[in-house]
Amino acid sequence: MADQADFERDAMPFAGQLYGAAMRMARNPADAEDLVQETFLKAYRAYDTFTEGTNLKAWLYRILTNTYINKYRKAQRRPDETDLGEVEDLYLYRRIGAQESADMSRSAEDTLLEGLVESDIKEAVEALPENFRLPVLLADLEGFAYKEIAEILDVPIGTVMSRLHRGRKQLQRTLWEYASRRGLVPEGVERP
Amino acid sequence: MSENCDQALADIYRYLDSELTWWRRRKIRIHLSDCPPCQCGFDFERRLKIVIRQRLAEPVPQEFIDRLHDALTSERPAGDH
Repeated sequence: MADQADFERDAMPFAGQLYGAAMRMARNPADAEDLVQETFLKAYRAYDTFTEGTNLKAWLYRILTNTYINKYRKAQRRPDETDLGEVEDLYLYRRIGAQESADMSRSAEDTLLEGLVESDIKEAVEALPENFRLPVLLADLEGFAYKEIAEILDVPIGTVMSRLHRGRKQLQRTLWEYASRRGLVPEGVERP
Repeated sequence: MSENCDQALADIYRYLDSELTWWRRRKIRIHLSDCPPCQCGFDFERRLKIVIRQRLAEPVPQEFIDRLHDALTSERPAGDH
């Protein structure tokens, strides 16, 4: 059992990370702050149920995602279940990697990866349906293992893998659209 | 049975996410060393993953950390400081 008096010392180091994830969930700073603050207050009140020595970071993320889902699912205008349909694997790579020479491919990859700015990546993640966005954030931003993500989201590990896979593919498709718009895509490559 | 491209690509994300057994990981590594096209694809996905992580980083405002600290302090029972 963890001691409530130690909560701030133990949990505060994760506040910045949680804020980063909350920004991509809530999509604006005011709501992200509310989300993290509510998470911390809930966690503080329940800290005596947390088993010391287990994964505090994952426990906090579980409270964060539950808080987010409870708060925002109600407010959603439409159900967020649909995805863009089947997207092939390595979507971006196959579009820019198919250059005549390895050097050209490498330079096209550099142009794309360097040209996609922060706001592109953030918007593309925020555009993902919630079912895909949460696993993508937990894996790609936070670096959680699949097993941890399954526990945080309370879904089977197979579901985590399939949502992560589909989420990443959709993310690539959106990034490709942004890259095309910005002219980061090599001449002569067919646009989707 | 020797590793082929489809098998390697089917496991690309689990490989990059460090979710494979060492044995499976080793088989993929051997395949990549023999297959430049797959190696390029894996390299690209790895770079993209790093770019996504770096550019999603969000600096947390110090004022917010201060407010969070205040909120926690006001939750504490009186006299417990």
